[in-house]
Amino acid sequence: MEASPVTNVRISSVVPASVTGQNKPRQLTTMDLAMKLHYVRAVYFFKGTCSFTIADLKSNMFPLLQSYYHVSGRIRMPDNDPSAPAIPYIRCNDSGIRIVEAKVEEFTVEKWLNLDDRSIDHRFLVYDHVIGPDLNFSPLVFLQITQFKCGGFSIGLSWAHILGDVFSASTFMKTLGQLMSGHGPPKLLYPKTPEPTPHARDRDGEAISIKKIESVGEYWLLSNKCKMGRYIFNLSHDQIDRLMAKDTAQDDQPFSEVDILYAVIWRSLVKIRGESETNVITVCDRKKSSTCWNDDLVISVVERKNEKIGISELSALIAGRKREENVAIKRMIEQDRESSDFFTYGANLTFVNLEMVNMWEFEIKGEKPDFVNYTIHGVGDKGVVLVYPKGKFARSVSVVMPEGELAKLKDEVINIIM
Amino acid sequence: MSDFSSSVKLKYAKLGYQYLINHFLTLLLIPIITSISIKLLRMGPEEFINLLNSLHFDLLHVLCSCFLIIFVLTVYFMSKPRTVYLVDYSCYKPPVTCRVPFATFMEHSRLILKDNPKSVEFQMRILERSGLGEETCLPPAIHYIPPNPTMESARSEAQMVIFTAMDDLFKKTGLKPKDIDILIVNCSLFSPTPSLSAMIINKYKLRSNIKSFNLSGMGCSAGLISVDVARDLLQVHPNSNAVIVSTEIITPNYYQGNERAMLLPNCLFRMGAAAILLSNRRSDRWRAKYKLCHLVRTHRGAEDKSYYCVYEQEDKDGNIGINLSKDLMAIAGEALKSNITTIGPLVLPASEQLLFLISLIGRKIFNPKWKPYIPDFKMAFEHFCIHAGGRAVIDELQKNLQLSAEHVEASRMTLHRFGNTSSSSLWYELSYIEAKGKMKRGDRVWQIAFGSGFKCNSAVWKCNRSVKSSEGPWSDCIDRYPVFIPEVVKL
Repeated sequence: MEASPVTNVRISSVVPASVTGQNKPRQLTTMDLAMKLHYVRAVYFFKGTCSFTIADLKSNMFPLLQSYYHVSGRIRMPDNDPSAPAIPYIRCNDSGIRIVEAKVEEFTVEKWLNLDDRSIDHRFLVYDHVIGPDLNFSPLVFLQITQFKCGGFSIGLSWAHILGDVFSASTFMKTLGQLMSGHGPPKLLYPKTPEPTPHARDRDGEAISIKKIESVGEYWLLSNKCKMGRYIFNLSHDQIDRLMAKDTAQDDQPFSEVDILYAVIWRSLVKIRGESETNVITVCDRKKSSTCWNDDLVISVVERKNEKIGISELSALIAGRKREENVAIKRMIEQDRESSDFFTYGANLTFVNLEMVNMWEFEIKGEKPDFVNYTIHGVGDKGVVLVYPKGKFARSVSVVMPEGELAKLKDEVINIIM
Repeated sequence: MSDFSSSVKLKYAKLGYQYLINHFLTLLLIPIITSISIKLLRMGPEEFINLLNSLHFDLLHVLCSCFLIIFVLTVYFMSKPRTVYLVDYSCYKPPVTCRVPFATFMEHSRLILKDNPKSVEFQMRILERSGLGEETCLPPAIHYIPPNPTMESARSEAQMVIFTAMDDLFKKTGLKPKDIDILIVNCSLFSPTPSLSAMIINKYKLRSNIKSFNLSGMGCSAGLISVDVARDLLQVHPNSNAVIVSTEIITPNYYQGNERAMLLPNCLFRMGAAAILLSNRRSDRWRAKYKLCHLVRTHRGAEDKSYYCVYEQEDKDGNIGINLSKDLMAIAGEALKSNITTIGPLVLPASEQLLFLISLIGRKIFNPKWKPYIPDFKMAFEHFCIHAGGRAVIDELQKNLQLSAEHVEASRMTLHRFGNTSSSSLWYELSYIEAKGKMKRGDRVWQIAFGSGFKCNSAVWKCNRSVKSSEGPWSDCIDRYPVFIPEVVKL
């Protein structure tokens, strides 16, 4: 699909229901700054006619934003002390988030979901949102509500990663669903004032999970050398069980389903890109907490020295030899003092575990979404792999890779699972 | 120290003078009555009876005198104008979904006017000094980038604000729609066919012999013009009531161009409406909140300068907007002076009027350089409701009438919480005073409204019963007020 099937686009803003007051500043932590150039994008589909309208959705956003007032804020750069590092912060001035209302007249939701290419979800049903170039007046979140021919609709969320990780974004949507279903005001699941992290003392050595680049200025998006494409692999539970059985544990190092899925993609890319290009991978996990902020992310690296590239070897490597780099990342960013920018997803081949993400819990008056598609926008050239939580019949693995490699990757993965 | 004692002496002298002049008649009558009664007491009963007999009263004389007295009393009561009571009123409180914080308004302006950074700068400066708060509301159609004003969205805004205000009025007063005798709607800039009053009649199924009026084009002072029309009608129709709906519909009038002088109303005008129930029925005397004492209308339209100062016109791109001239404040001041000259004699106590007369004569005959005496209106009124047209208007009037910050608090806080809601702003201000618990029985209120033309209208109400603070547009936020409004708010 080349031309956009989306018509009748109308843009407006929704703001918090009550005054937050005094333009409260909200500091960004170092982990937030590591994620500055990334955006979480999600699309939720609802088939058929629903028991709520777009007006209901919009009017429930107001009390939602009352609790999530930092989401309604805007980026500001501190302008007083020239010697102190210019760390951007969020000014909670109730500016609000942008809502886009649109229509797709040629397709029903079912017909849309039956199309093969799932990248169309993010190309057309999510607004192409970037913070900047007008940094002080750019919304941090865009929500696109697209109505289809059948009366069903899709909700496309574009969420700046500085506000929180994929779990934070899905909790935001889940809370919206709860408000629409008539439950009371949401419990705040993010820390009111992010505490400064303790200074790193002993570790030496640079963090290799993040990459330093020249400052992007006032347009917060990573530029890629090649065009990135998206694809979703759906592996049935049988296929995964077969994989687990085939590649038995080595050296008594047990590994999980997620580890083996990582290993499948890693091995395929080693074959496509060559051994020297893919010696390091980044693995993103999450601490077992329900707080919504970037500091609960656990970023580790796995380095391959000269191990064999079998699935079981790689799985064991991933399960056993992860090296946490959070402290090193924080130190590296703090020492830089804001002269350059950093990015995480795509600095190396990055694997993100979304098992904790409650993506299907976005329920409106008992209606659950028919399909959910999460991805990351603003990914480095090495690509990102997102492993969704276990579904009823299959598990999805969503990849963001350079387009040239995608076809080869599909073939490799099919070879492995058959 | 001597300054202090001399100022205290001056204060006492002033108080003494005021007491003397204001109670002049009483002070004159007391010695006369005392002397007559002393004389009568000295006379003794037999002399008194002799005096009465000598007057030669007979039946015819007595009967004629009685009839004369009865006749005079009847003529007096028949020709007395009917008292118009304000039974109750309700103000529209916009829903949270219409809220427009400063930052959002600025951001939308930047996006809509992105080819005109000078206009954006201008709007930013106006907003910083406007005195508006973070909770003012605009109708849903204006929240889009760019705004989406259609006739349908204008009608739906009208329905939303008017019907909510009227439902609230019915609930507060127990009024039944079929009992409404007179309906007056004033909305300056939105005048569809059928009229807004027809829209109300249709919605509430009002009687077929209702006297309905729809005033449009009369600006922010139209609220008091409606009260004037209602008062005149209630003189002609006995035992009737009148419902007045004052509002301004923002949707069709949001200026979409980039001419600076015409962008100003966009920054100040906000959603609002008020519904008021007036009555001349004796049965409403006990439950009415206020009694209408005076209503004075002044029109300066005969002068070109006043006529053109608030002028609706097309800009060079064909966008229609309201052009506010730079001498608006000066013209407002002059209009106020005319209005005061008429209302002063009606409300000011004799002491102030005498001083004003002396100062006037002095300036005319002796020395024109004498400073004109500004009568102290604080002696005539306990509360002031100045139309919240903008910060400059309130500042100007505070200076001209020499009012304290407390007197103009209702106006400033209404501007902060609701913005300039045009003709309904006076009712929000009155509601503020009531919500603060300051309205007591016998208090007099002065409502002053300015409007295009250039008009200055004022109404004087007297509180009929002490008002307990009840449900109203201020009920959820009155505890936060008064707030300090800085000169410039940094965005």
